[in-house]
Amino acid sequence: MADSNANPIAVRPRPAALEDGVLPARRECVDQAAFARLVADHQARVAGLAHRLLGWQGDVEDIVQDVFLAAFKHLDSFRGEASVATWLMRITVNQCRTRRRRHALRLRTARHAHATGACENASPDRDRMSAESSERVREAVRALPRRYREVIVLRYLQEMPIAEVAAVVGRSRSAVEVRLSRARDRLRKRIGPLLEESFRGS
Amino acid sequence: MDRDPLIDLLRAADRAAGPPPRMPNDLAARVRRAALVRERPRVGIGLVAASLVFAAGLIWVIQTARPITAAKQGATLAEARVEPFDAASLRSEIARLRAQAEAQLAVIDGLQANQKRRAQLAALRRPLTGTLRSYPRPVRDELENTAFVIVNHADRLRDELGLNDAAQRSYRRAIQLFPDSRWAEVARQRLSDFEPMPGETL
Repeated sequence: MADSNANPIAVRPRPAALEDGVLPARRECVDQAAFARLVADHQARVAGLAHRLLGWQGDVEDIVQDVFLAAFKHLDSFRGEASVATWLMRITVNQCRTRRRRHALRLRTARHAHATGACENASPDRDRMSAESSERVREAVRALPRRYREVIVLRYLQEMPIAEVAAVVGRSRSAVEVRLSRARDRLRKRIGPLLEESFRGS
Repeated sequence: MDRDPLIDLLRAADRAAGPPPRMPNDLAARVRRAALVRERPRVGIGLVAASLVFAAGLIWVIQTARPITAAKQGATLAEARVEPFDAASLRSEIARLRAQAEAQLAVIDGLQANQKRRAQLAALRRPLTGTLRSYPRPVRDELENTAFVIVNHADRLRDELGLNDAAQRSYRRAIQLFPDSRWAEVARQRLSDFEPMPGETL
């Protein structure tokens, strides 16, 4: 993956490289090609995170567009305390929270309807794990409270270090570790039989 | 990274779900167009709001000008009615005015009684918001239990029913009624989960 902390955007009329993680002060200065490069560098990661936070269902394209739209509009407020990648991850988490708050009821009723749909694009890993089992695991993650689901996705599926997870969710490292521990406990209670099955299988 | 069967199961389920949908190639251009489109209505809304305020001000000026002329007309008519003298109609007019004044006094009495009841209620509520430590142990335990019931109810609203607004109201109720209790602190932490961290830019 391209270095997410590299200088993403050049500023007109000063084309000199910026410091790592620093974006131009005003979005009027954003070069078109540079913004396109920012989107190209980060869209896969943003889409992957949105896909997982929405429970592997839902309108990922809308969320990704909203994330980059928010980034474009709020360039003025980016202070460079974190890397651009972390900043975009934080925007993605916030957008997914807003989306889920607005569509909480619709998600509950649509969950069963989309349960089979989620398996249609499955990868060849299906033969290692039955479609039903993998859907049960995903259902267990969807059922987690938001604060636990986010840290599980960021840490274990996005494979971010704990410090970065803490920066994205806006909590301390110890708080994130506590949430991860509680989330793992809840998942073990819910999918315990599947864990035993996978242990025996390996 | 961690070697935990649970983490392996999560990752396998994530892979089995397949990748997120492909993003359009012109995503950056779409974002820029969307940013321009969303800015246009703001200008329109501002103009409409300014027009409405101007129209409301104009109507108010016109309305306040009318009573002056109406009062002048009334004064002229009153002067005409005094002549010739009619004792009976004057008596009936006095009786009507007296009844009107008594009705208004009754309303004022009602308002004052209401205000007095509210003050009494506030005085009765004050001991409840005193420090928990000042109560005997059995009373403190009961109050803690009650606070726990409210917070537990709020947790269920949030986790099982997804009714975050109702959950937040219950947490605030627990804090308002039992501010010194252990469960009020828990309620404050739960409320902070709903709110962005201070300094968070998005």
